[in-house]
Order: sequence, then structure tokens, then C-alpha cells
Amino acid sequence: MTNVMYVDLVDSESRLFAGDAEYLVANAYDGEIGIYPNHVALITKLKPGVLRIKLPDKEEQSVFAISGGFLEVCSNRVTVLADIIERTEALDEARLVEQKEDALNKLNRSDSTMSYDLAKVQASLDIAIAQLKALDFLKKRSRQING
Amino acid sequence: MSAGKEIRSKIKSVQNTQKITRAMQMVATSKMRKTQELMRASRPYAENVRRVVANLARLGSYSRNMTSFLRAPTEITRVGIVLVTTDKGLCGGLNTNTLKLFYEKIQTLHASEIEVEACVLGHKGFNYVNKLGLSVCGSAVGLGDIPKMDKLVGPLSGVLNKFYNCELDAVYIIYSQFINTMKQKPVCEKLLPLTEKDLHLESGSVKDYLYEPNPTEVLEGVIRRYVESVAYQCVADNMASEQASRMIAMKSATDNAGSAINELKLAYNKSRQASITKELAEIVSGSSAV
Repeated sequence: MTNVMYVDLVDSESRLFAGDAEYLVANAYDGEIGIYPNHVALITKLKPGVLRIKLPDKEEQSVFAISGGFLEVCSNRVTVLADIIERTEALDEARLVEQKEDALNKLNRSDSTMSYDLAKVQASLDIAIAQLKALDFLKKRSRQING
Repeated sequence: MSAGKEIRSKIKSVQNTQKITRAMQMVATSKMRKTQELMRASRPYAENVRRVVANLARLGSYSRNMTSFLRAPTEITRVGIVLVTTDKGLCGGLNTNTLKLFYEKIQTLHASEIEVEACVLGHKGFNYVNKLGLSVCGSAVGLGDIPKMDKLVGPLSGVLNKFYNCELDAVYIIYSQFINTMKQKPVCEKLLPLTEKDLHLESGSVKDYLYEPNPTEVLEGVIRRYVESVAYQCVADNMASEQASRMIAMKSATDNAGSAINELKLAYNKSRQASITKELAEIVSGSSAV
């Protein structure tokens, strides 16, 4: 029996990861979901949040921030169709908080803005939330390692 | 020597123009390469979305009735056209050709009494549509040199929502397809309603999925993303065409400037020679008079 599964992590502009993984944890519609090899066929909506992938040859999980999208599992193959993915190596907390506040403000006085501007603001809010969550996770992890 | 001086300054100015067009040509070449890379980079997403939509749509005829996105309208009374053009000019006949196709499409639709609504991407198309006085249901200008999904999602969601609410019966996209560096072709493709052919449906059984939160919501979300990704590819194609077309236009401008310089140089040398001959003749006739 195989103990790895194939993971394909793409967003609309590029492919960020493709290869074998031991398991994957994503922020699905009904809460966090963990997927191991040979999972049953599944399609779920993703909420803004953290996606973690455990690679066979690495000790630590790889962490990505995802603004939303879909996750599909089909015959030992996981496809993540994200709206926006950000790598989490260089996150700037202050800037993200500012981006989030800014987007929230814009959404609150949404009557004046056109609907298609809203889509953009919403996307910016989602990715900011996702990155902040990723940052939280990374902080917690480094505390665990250090403490 | 006043004529000579005039020609000299003219040569100088053509040379300067040539320098500019040559620089623009080189910039366009490098931008074209970059855009082509981005086109390639976005392909895995497009492929995967298409596969998922195809899997879902294949699950049975019941999916047809599940969402308004998969309906197949029998009578068409109102269509949306997504028009993709460039923001800037100086790219040969690219926009002219695209707009010509757009105009012809509108004419044929109007002839069969179908109303048209436009969604415009790019400055040139925006101006044109305003001039025609068409109703616009979404627009984005200033797309820049690299295709960005977040700039397209807004205007496209306008069209998608209208199709979803049955205000539009079909959606087309008109853009300039990048065939190779020398050749770009304006094309008109159908975005919605989706047909089996678009999705490359294969026969064969598929396992049903578990859905979170529910099949309808998942299907609608995935179809939205599918249409967005198709449109994104079209925009990327159009941008590559723009740069390729600009590269060719600037190359021929540079070549033309070169031949203009040659002609001017010839004229300059002739006038110089003429004045020397004249002076010589004057000297000779002067000395013979003495």
C-alpha cells in the first residue's frame, strides 16, 4: 500500500507545488480537514487560511497561505485550486494588518462602490486574513520548537 | 550650404526616432517572452479546473438542472460579449482587427434581433464601445503588462451574474489570439453556456464525490473559476499578441527610418557635390577672365 499521495497546488497564475506528500491539512468549509493517502473522493470549498503539507523527505511541514478556492481528492490525488496562494517565507505582520483594516473599511462603506470593485476588495481581505493566520501558525510553531 | 545644413538636421532627427523605435522593439521582445512564460505558468490551473468541472458535469444529467450555470438556453435574446483589447497603441493593426471582428459580430447579432451587452477589458475597446453607445456591464482598464487575475474577477463576475440570473443567454469573448510572433488573429469564442465539447467530456464512469458544503455550491464555484481561468488565458494571449505586434511594428518603423536616412544621406551628398562643382566652375571661369 502506498503511503504517499500526489498533491498539486495551483493558483490561477502559477503552480506552486506538485509532488508526493504524506499528508495535508487545509482550512475547509466546515473546519480544518486532514487528508491522508487513499482518501475518499471529495470536493470542498476552502476558506481563507493555512494549508500545510508534510513532505516525505522533510521534518517540518510546508506552510502556504490560501485566500480561498477548492480542494479536490480523487484516486489518491489531491488538487488544490486556490484563488491566491502566498508563500509564507516573508510575511510582514504590520502591512497585513493594515491591508485587512483597509479592506474591511472599504467593505463597510460598500454602498458607494461598484460591485466589481467589491470583488477585488474581498480578495485582498481574504488573502490578508489567510496570511495572518499563517503567521500565527508559524509563530506558534517556533515557540514550540524554542520552548 | 544652407540646404546641406537643413538635410543634416533632418538626418539627425530621423536617427533619434530610429533609436526610440529600436528601444521599443527590444522592450516589446522581452515583455513578450515574459508574457508567454506567464501563459505557460497559468496552464496547470486551467487544466485542473477544466478537469474538475468535467468530472462534476459528467456525474449525470441531474447536474444540468442543478445550477443555472449549466442551463442550455433554447432561445437567445440577449448576449454578452467580453471584448479584450490593449491599453496602449503603437501595436500595428492589432486593435483595429479585433474591433472590426467585434463590430461584425454585433451587426450579425443585431440583424437577428439579439441584444448585446459588452464587458470591456482594455482602454482601446472601452473608448470604442463608448463611441458605439453599447450598454456596458463591466469594464477594466489599465491592465498593465502582466495579466492579473484580480483585475479580471470584478468585471467578469458582472457577466457571470447576469448569465446566472438569466439576463444573458450566451457569453462570447473576443480577443487577439497569439499564433506566433509574426501572426496574431482576432477570434471570437463562446464562454457560456458550457457545452460538452468545451469540457472534453470523456465517457466512462466516475466515482461520486463527497461535497462540502453541497453539490450546487461547489459546482457553481468551480464553474465560475473555470470561466475566469478561460478568460484569463484569453487576456494573457492578447497581451502576448500586443507585444509581438508592437515588436513587429517597431521593427518595420526602425527599418523605414533606416531607408529614410539613406535617402537623405544621398540627397545631402548630392547637394554637397553640386556646391563643390559650382565653386570650382566659378574659380575656373574667374581665372580664365584674368
